[in-house]
Amino acid sequence: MGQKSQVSSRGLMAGISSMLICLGLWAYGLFFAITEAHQGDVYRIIYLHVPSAFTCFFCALVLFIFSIKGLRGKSSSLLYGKATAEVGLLFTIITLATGSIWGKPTWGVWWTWDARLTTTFILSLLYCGYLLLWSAMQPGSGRVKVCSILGILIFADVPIIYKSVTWWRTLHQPPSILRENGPTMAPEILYLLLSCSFAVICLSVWMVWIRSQNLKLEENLNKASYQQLEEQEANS
Amino acid sequence: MKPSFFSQYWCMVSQGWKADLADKERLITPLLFAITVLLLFNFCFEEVSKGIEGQVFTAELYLTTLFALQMSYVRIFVPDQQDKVFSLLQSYPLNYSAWFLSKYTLALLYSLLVFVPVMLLCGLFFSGADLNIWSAELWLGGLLSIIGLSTLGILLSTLTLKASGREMLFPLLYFPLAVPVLLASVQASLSFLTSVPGGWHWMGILAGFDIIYFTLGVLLFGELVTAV
Amino acid sequence: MLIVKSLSFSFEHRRLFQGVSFQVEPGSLLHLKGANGVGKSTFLGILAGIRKADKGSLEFIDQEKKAHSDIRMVSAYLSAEANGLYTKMDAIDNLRFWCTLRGLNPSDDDLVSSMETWGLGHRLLRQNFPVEQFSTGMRRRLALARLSLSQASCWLLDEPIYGLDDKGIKLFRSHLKEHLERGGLGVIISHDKLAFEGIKTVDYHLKSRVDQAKNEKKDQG
Repeated sequence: MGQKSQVSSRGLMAGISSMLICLGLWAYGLFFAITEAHQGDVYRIIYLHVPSAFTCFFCALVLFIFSIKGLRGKSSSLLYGKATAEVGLLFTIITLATGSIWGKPTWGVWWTWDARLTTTFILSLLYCGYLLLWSAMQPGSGRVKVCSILGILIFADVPIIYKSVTWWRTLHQPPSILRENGPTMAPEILYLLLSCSFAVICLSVWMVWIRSQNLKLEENLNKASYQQLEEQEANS
Repeated sequence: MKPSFFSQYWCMVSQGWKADLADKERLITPLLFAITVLLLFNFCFEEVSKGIEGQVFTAELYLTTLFALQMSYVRIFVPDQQDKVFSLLQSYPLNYSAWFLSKYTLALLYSLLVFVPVMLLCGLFFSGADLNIWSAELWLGGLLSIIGLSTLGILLSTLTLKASGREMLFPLLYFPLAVPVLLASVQASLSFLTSVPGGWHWMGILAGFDIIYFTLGVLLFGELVTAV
Repeated sequence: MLIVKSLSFSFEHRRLFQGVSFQVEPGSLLHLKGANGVGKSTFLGILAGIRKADKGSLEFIDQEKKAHSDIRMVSAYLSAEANGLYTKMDAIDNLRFWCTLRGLNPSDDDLVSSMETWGLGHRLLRQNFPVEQFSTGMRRRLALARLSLSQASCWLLDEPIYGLDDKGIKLFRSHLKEHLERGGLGVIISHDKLAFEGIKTVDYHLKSRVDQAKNEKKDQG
């Protein structure tokens, strides 16, 4: 039990610090950062929107890495994979919600089919599919391999989806309206954006870690109850 | 006495084809479903105004194909699930690539059985419009799209083999993953039909999807069938 | 010769068996015994290649002293409640398919004579008569005909005489004797001892984890 508290205190420190950094950066972005020329104060939501978008795609990459490990036979990587999919789903929802909230005052629409939002939407469906597959299969080495392969398929598709949707949008929309990351962005905004993105990615890594510890505990609990049952039968 | 790759491949293909011929409803139902869906689309779109006939044609063609083929792919392992045939196949010295290629050949065949009539029927419904459905590029785009959809269908069908509620889970995974194929094939066909440039760029995306997923299929199928 | 070393398997957390090791000599039949639910069919499935063991290894050394680590090449498996037959197809098509998959190329006459040796000689049964119209016992005989056509050295049989009548059981015993006399070997699970009456068997008792744990406690005193 001593090992458990050692692990959780280190983890808690990491979690608290990354959360504080995020909050600090967001507070700076909200109150102190410069006002953007065209959009006014409402643009500040990009400090939440863009990092979340980076994070949900980063989670797809992490899912791919855990899927490769799962294929090689490491069954615990499935737990990390499930945690990554859950955290990824959370950040896709945040991205979509903040994108909508940003869109309404800025361009007057709640939804727009720009490349990033569309790909995030599809990615959220794929994360849901991954989690549904996870719960639809019996636990075991079969589930580890099958979910790992789905993780690989998802990662292989995301760049293709993004490329095709981007090309599709350039046919229908002039690029200047929706370009948030273009060279027209002031450097202060860019630097703050990058630091926010880095902070949110660290936060997501911590969330994945803590969720997978949670799942591991569940699994250990299952294992312990089976062992107890066996011991009971052996003693009877 | 070691079985050759080709003999195993051909044996599996002919067996699959015979098994489906014996149970014809599995061959015909997706086609009937496609025809029904086309009918429903035409009811909803009614009179299509002059400029957008090409768009409606390609949208109907590829959406119908996507929906009907989903039905086809989810049932591709049904003859192997009777009487524990699948388990017995796992216990045979069957080359996994031969197995994948045989299932893939069958999937491609069934896709053609759906796509060709749907294309012809769509052409019939839009015969009033000035659309050249006999252009080689249009058919090439269709072929590339069903090549990609077949690989995806086989992989996901095998993936969900032991999942509960697989008839519901399969479409949920299949449709989002198939978005690039849908987008690229519709845009490519539209370009070729309306003589707008850019069609070959979309064909490139289709070809890229096909190559990536076919490679993944060959590499991962062995792992999949030993896992389910 | 079949060599099994330290095979262990568990379903997620439910440990089935651990450290199972034995050798089966050519010409001998191993009778896998154990209570219901102890994992005999699962174990046979691992030997057949349907599942992978968590730990341990399998090896088959054939008559030319060549070692095979993938024993699917040399084994033929018969499952307990199912026969692995395409029910909408007829007997000859089924047999031909399964033989071709192994790389064998029997003629129609070979297939028919094999069916005859298993009591399925009636002309009506061969073609244009789908297997779904066969009775349970007839399907089992067809699956056993496939087994003898497979030319496999190692027979893995799970409740082989299920559904067979007395004549069928006698046929099974004579085929099994013939197979063992030719130098083949077998692993059989059968609660019904009639399956191998008159044939010498080596018993292996698969113990459940609970019984193993009890024994360990006893040894510890």
